Amino acid sequence: MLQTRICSFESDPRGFVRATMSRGAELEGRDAREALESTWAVAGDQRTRVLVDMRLIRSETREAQQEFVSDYSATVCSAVGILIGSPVSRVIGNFFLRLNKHQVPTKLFNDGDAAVSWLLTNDP
Amino acid sequence: MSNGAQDPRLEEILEVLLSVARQEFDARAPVSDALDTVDAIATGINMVAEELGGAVTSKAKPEQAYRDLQAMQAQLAHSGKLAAVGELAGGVAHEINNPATGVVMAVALGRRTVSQLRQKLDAGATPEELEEHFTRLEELWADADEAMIRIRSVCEDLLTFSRMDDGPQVPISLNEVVRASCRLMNPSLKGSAKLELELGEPPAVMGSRGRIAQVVTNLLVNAAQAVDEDPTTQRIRVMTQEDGEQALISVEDTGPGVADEVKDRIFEAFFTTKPAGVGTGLGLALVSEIIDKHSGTMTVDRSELGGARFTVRLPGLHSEDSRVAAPGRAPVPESERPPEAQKRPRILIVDDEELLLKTYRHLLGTRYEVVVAKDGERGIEVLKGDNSFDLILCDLHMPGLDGIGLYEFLQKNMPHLLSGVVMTTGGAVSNRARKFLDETQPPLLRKPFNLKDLHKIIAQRLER
Ligand SMILES: Nc1ncnc2c1ncn2[C@@H]1O[C@H](COP(=O)(O)OP(=O)(O)O)[C@@H](O)[C@H]1O
Ligand SMILES: [Mg+2]
Repeated sequence: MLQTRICSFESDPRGFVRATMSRGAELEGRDAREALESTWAVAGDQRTRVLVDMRLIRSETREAQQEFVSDYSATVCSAVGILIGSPVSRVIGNFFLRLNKHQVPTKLFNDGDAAVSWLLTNDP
Repeated sequence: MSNGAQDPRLEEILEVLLSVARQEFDARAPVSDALDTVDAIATGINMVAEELGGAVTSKAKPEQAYRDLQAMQAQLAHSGKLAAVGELAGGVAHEINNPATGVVMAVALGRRTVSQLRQKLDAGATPEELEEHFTRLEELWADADEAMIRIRSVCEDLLTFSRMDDGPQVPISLNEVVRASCRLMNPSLKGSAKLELELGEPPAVMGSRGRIAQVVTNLLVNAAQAVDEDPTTQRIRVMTQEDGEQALISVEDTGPGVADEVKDRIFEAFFTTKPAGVGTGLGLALVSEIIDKHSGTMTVDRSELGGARFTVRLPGLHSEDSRVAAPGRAPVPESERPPEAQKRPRILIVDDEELLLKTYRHLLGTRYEVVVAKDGERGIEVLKGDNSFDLILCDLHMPGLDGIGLYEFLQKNMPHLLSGVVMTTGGAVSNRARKFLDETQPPLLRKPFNLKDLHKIIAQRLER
């Protein structure tokens, strides 16, 4: 378990990392980098599937979004399931999906169980 | 909290919308802890403002491109190529004008929608009743966004032009490009003709996406200008299909067609039959130049719809891909190799992505002695001081001196290291890089790669 300014990271024994954004998180570029580094660390220095719970997020900058579609991000994450809930997280999630450079499978979910089953269908 | 006209947040959101309509992208609407629908609207508008702001202030902003253009004019004029300058400047204006018109229209419609919103709000409408207007705004911003991206890519093109470079070459789906261009054009076509798409299964083509989009858009603009303005009878048809090993795209219309006496001249720069202010005569000149650059062909004849039919053929990717590559390099004789290091094998890693360098060091540091360099120049500096590396892991694409440059340096100065070079690449590969890869066939690691691939390729290299 690892906690950064806006997010906590936990390795799930089923073989993915669960990243949970704190209530009211305002995600900036450096947070995104830190999140990727933390994911890598929590996964034991290897590429991993990630479940991002952004239901309580308040905002995400353009810079942060771009970090998440970078080469580095693709090296850290093999698949990304994004949990959305609040109307705000829905908008942010959809905006994010619209970015055209996704190099790894990325999908939005309203339901945690569905997200996990989908994640596990992807290669680690 | 989110209770109709009483909600003070809607007023603030409107303020932000108005400033975006004035093309000021700094304002942001507040997002409350409720994270509800009204907050979501604020978020959407904030993100669009940030996108548009980013597009305008990015490194390729129009003023900068214009200054670059001026500098280039001075340079070209100096070498006596005035004609080229005029053509280029005109071409740029033409290419920026089309999408700029889209932005201006979207902004104008946005203004109107905002004032309708204000009226409804004053009349005490609930958020649900405002929904339709917000949706409309979202669509308009998406259009403006797309047009801004095109403008940016024109500016970027201009910069690559100045280096006489072809820009990034990527596999392109023609259908996708056609769909995007049509979506961009459709609003301005609505009043004049019905746009029909017949998309087949053309093979992917290798090229610059922005440029191919310019081809389609220019042909569409011409078709739209050729037809009488009557959507009930006038039609424009865009087709894509496979044609042997080639990808084919055609644009045809119900207009008068191209008159025989001008047929030979329409591809000339500045040739136009349209009144000043409507035609610049540069559209087809640009189109044929782009098609040339992509090794394609273009023909014009009469459409069964009655008007002109322009047909473009581009080489399909599979035919190009299966071409037999040049033989690999000869193995380096044993005697030329450096004396085997007794300690851990040494690896030099050259990559411009600092986080990746950090990761590599972390991953490989326990087994190997790792030295990192942030770009090609620094890599060479390291090598000049100490060239006893067993392996060089080098990114193909880096600003400044790239992987190819480093490879060439090694060929000239330290050929014994060549057999230990592994290239990495992050996807899009330029023409130059493709040629390099074809000719030298270095071991290649495609990002993203996993730990297993990395160790495997390193072990293979070190074994020899
Ligand atoms: N779809 C078309 N139907 C009829 N004539 C066309 C069509 N497209 C192009 N032309 C002719 O080719 C000329 C050159 O086109 P272009 O290079 O795009 O410049 P412009 O559109 O600015 O005139 C046009 O002025 C017109 O006479
Ligand atoms: Mg034209």
